[in-house]
Amino acid sequence: MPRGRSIPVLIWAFPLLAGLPISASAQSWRTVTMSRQLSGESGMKVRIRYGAGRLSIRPADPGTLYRMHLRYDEDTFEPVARYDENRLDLGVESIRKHIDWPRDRDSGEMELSLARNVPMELDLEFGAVRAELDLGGLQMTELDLSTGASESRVSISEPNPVHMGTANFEVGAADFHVRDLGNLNADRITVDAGVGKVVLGFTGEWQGDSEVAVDMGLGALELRFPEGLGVCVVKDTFLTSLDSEGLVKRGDSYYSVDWEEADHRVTVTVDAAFGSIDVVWVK
Amino acid sequence: MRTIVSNEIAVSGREATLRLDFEDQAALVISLQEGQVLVDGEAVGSYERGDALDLAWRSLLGDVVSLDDGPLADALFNWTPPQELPGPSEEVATALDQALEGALAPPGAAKGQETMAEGTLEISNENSLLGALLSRSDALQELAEALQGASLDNFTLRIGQDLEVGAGEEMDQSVILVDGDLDVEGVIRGDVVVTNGTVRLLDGGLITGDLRVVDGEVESLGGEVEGEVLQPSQEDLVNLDSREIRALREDLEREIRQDLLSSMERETRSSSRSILAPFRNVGRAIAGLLETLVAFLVLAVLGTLVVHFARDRLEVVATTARRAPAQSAMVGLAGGFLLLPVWILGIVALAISIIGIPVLLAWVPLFPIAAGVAGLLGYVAIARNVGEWVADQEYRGLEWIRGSNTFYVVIAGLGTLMIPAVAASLVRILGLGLLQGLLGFLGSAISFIVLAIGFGAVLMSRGGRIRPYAAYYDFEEDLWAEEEAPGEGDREEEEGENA
Repeated sequence: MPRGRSIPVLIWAFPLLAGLPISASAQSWRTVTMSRQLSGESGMKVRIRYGAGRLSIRPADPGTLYRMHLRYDEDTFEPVARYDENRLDLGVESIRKHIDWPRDRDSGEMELSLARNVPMELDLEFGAVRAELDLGGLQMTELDLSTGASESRVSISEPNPVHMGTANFEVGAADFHVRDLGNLNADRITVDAGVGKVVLGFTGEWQGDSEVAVDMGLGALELRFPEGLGVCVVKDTFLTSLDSEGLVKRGDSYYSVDWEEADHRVTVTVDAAFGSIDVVWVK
Repeated sequence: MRTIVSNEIAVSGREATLRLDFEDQAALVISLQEGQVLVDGEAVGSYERGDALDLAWRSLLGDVVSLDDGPLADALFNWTPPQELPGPSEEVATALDQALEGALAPPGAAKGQETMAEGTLEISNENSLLGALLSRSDALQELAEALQGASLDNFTLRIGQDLEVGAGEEMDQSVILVDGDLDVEGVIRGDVVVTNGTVRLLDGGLITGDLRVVDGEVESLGGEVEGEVLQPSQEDLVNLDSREIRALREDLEREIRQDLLSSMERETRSSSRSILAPFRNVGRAIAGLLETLVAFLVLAVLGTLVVHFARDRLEVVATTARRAPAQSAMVGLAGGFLLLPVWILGIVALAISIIGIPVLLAWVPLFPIAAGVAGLLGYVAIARNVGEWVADQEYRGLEWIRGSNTFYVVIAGLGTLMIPAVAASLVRILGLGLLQGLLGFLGSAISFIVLAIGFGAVLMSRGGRIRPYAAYYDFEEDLWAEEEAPGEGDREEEEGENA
């Protein structure tokens, strides 16, 4: 390209340099389906990266290590499926510096299923996606989930058969719902949320006590506790209201009435700036 | 059926690809890609998008996309190309079918299939028998010697590959092996000819005909040969000039000629590319010049409109930029990078306030437009300053640029700012890539700086409405006043004299 082209382009690109929206262009969609069979894996690190579109993750059929179906713009992205020495990288990555913003973000999709019976450190990172994740039954020894501007529904529909140290959720500007956190079988759960709505469901089969730390900037936090679970909410907030239904205040903390007798106890520490905290009890 | 450890099916408008990875690290990749049918990267034919072969292959991939391992292998192995395919497509489809069956069948079964053919040929890493023999031309004479008297009515020929006849397997044909080893644990009903390889007769192995080995070894590990075992030494080799050898030699020569012709054609195409290269450069340079010209014309029209409708503001912005270029640049850069946050914050602020929602409808499109107009005003203002500087230089041929005519000054300034782009296009013709790149970069950098200063000056002067450095303006106005005073006095004197 003649260098001279950059001059007129730059004139009109000046506002764009400041980050104004990028124009859309035609896309060439490609679908890829790939799978790998189990071959005696005793554990692995799984890293999943997905930028924009629809994402779903669920447990795989027996005998399958993973199965992935992708639909993406082949001019902009390329699929990633690297398996090497018990490390599995899946997703898509950009092949261009400039990314055309998809006209229909839901046109891109990634459907992934992962083996149930392989212990794994699961690292999920996705951007502007609409995510439906069912991590139930996966043997997760670690979980790191970070998402940008997404609408995410995470479910742990079956108990995690192995013990997990910490589960981390990093949420940008998102509508983020997690249910059955009890099935994670985790000692500690951290949620770092920027802006948006976060719903944390503490249902599931608790196998021990747990600590949950929620750090939230601006938005609404809904805590959904099952009856019978011992709950303590510690609030360190600035301009955040708390609807403490079913909780009794003792000192700076709020306790469920059956805190002393509960089989399993969850301590939720909330550090929030602006917004609201709602407590909902579910049967 | 072989075990498939992983599979990948990729389908787009440009391709339909199947990749299978097997337990033994082997892989099979079949791809219909941009008109070519590829098996493990080798072209085996062609297709057209949407033709019967393309549809049949995509249909197969669609059918097996949800399958894994065993069911997948079964489905692919049992695939049969549609009957109604036209001639060339049918051949390609048959090749795909054979590639699938060859890759998916267990080793023993694959050999069993070979026995069905009258004469089969397998060559590794070469495109043809002649090509393979060419790479091992020293084996030709050995082979001819070994073939003397062998039964070749029905045979398998392999070059550069090993062959195993497993326990319980039977081959009803002779075997000719060049540059490969043979393990016999089953039965070969025919002669076996091996050059440059080892024959291992394993327990239970049987060759019903003769075994001829040239430049190789025979290891008897419990197997039997019903015929004779012949191992002529190098010294025993006789120079043959049989019709077969002559025919082979002619074929070799023909193939070499074809290779040379192909190479020459490639060379010709390559050299034609290099001959045309300068003309392409000229074409691209002209395209670059035209682009710059169009950009110049567009800016000239916009600049003329600015001068016509907002001359006073243009003057204020231009003077601000001239008097405080560094501050303007800093303000311009900061303003440029704050545009997006301000725009978004404005949207958020207006969206959350019910009263602001009607304003939001105007804010979303008008803010970027206003930013663009500010950038244009700033750029034209800097062009005016540049044009004024050019006018002051009093270059020969540029007398038409008069400082008193803002239109001419702006046009001259815009033209001057475009010089690096024009120079980059001209230099391209000469093939001076580095200089072209430097000029292009210089042009981009100048444009960026001009925009930053201009935009900053627009912000500092609030779009040319206020004079942030009043002292400068006052100073200039004083100058004008001093210059005008004598003229006015002269006119008065003249008027007085006339009276």
